Amino acid sequence: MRRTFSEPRPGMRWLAGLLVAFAVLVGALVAGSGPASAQERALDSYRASGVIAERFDGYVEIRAPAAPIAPAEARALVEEVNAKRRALYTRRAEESDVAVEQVGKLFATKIVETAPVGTFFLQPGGDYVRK
Amino acid sequence: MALHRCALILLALAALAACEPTVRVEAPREPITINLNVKIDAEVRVKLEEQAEKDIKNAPDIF
Repeated sequence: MRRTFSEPRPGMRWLAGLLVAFAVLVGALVAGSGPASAQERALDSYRASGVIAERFDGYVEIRAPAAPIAPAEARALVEEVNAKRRALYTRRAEESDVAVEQVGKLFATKIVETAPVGTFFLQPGGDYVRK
Repeated sequence: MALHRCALILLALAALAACEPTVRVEAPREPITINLNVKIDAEVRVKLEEQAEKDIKNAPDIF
């Protein structure tokens, strides 16, 4: 006995519905991640590759061994990120009546968790630890 | 029967594809412990810990 595609069995129709549901789910997951800005991508890629390092005080720097090969774009990014972080730390310090240096260090402990794998962290003693 | 098997393979592939983004999201969340050796006053931690987490999440351009 031959079956044709024009008359699917009920079981097949159920499977097709499931496939559509999966497709919708995949689409929603991909769309939900949202677009990353160019600066966000640049910062993450410079950190993952070890050009830009995070510091214990809550700011970023060109990692010392990478300094001779660091592109101007990375240096500019460090300046911009630090200026924006400093403004934020200062605001939070004033709001809570605590020292701005303490705010930076607190942020540093949180940045450790969110920075991409591969990021170097400068410790107070001068050593880098890599995530 | 061949059609049925084909549909099952498609289903398995779709299930695999559906799982993939979840795996990618969870990959960097491995328990990596890096101790920065910084001293932070308990007062600062209490006042600002939650705020710091929110700020970092809301400004991915600089964090």
